[in-house]
Amino acid sequence: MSLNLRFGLLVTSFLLLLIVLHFTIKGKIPIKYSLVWLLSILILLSTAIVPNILVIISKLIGFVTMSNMIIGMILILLLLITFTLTIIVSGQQRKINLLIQEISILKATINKK
Amino acid sequence: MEKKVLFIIPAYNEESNILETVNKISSYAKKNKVSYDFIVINDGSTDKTKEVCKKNNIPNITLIHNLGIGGAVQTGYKYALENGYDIAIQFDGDGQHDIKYAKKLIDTIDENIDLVIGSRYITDNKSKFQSTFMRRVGSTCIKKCIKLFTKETITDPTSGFRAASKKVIEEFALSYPIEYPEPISIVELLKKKYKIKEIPVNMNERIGGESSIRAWKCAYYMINVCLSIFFVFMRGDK
Repeated sequence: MSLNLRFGLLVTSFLLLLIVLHFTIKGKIPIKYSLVWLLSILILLSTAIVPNILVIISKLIGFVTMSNMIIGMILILLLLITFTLTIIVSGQQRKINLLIQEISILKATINKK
Repeated sequence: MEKKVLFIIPAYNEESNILETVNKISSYAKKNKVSYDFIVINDGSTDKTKEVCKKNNIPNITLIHNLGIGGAVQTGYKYALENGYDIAIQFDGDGQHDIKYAKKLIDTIDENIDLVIGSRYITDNKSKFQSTFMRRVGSTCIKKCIKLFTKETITDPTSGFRAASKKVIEEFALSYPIEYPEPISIVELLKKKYKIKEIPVNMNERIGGESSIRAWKCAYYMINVCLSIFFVFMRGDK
């Protein structure tokens, strides 16, 4: 891995870390959701610092180049994150549904009296 | 002892039809010397449905946001459960359903029949309006799919003209499918061994407004319903 790439990776992950930490500290995203992002950043950071581990792993699994493996990994990670979001959104949809129904029934009962 | 009956009338942008529908129910009840309660579920309409209800003193629940037909009808079942009704009957606000079959639907419910569906497709029925060709094809496929999984024949699974017993009211108030509510709720009931019966009815063409299922959406609708039925059965018993 070239020095330029390592430097770029280092800067990017630090920026990401700052953004995630900023929102977590301000309480805009709960810790349980920021954890998955922090984990991803940790992986990025370790790649920048010791790229040799990744070379060995990618050879072991059978990727031609290390960058292929990184892109593949990131893709899987993103898919997992979006799927988790789908589950969360569906749960919230159910709750909103319940709220609309109960509030509307309550409003109608109050107005009747 | 006379049974308490509630008409659940889901209405979305039905300002031109709702008054007529409600009047039909009241005059029908008067003619048969029975008392029917009704509740209009105004599904967050953007037109004057709410004002029409208020002006004419029609009992209504106005949803604070549009939920779609499933969410609206479930609100009606919740209301029915809270107010101790014995039978709830779904009756569209757009004038599609013919009130003269209501009594037959209600009377068919007994200890052994939990849900009565008004069907357009029972053979001895000469309904003038059986909807478009595409919709009939879709309906047939859904019918086959239900038969495959439940071994029961439901001739008109998408019919929204249905009467529910007290047990089914409780069931629906607790959980009612939000997507494709008519066929999926039937499958869920059959899976829980409830007894469903169909009786022939006529349906009118819509007086105004727009059907919620348009022709080009038919295939998409059908695939989704069949998939949903499959998943209901994969879910196992809770």
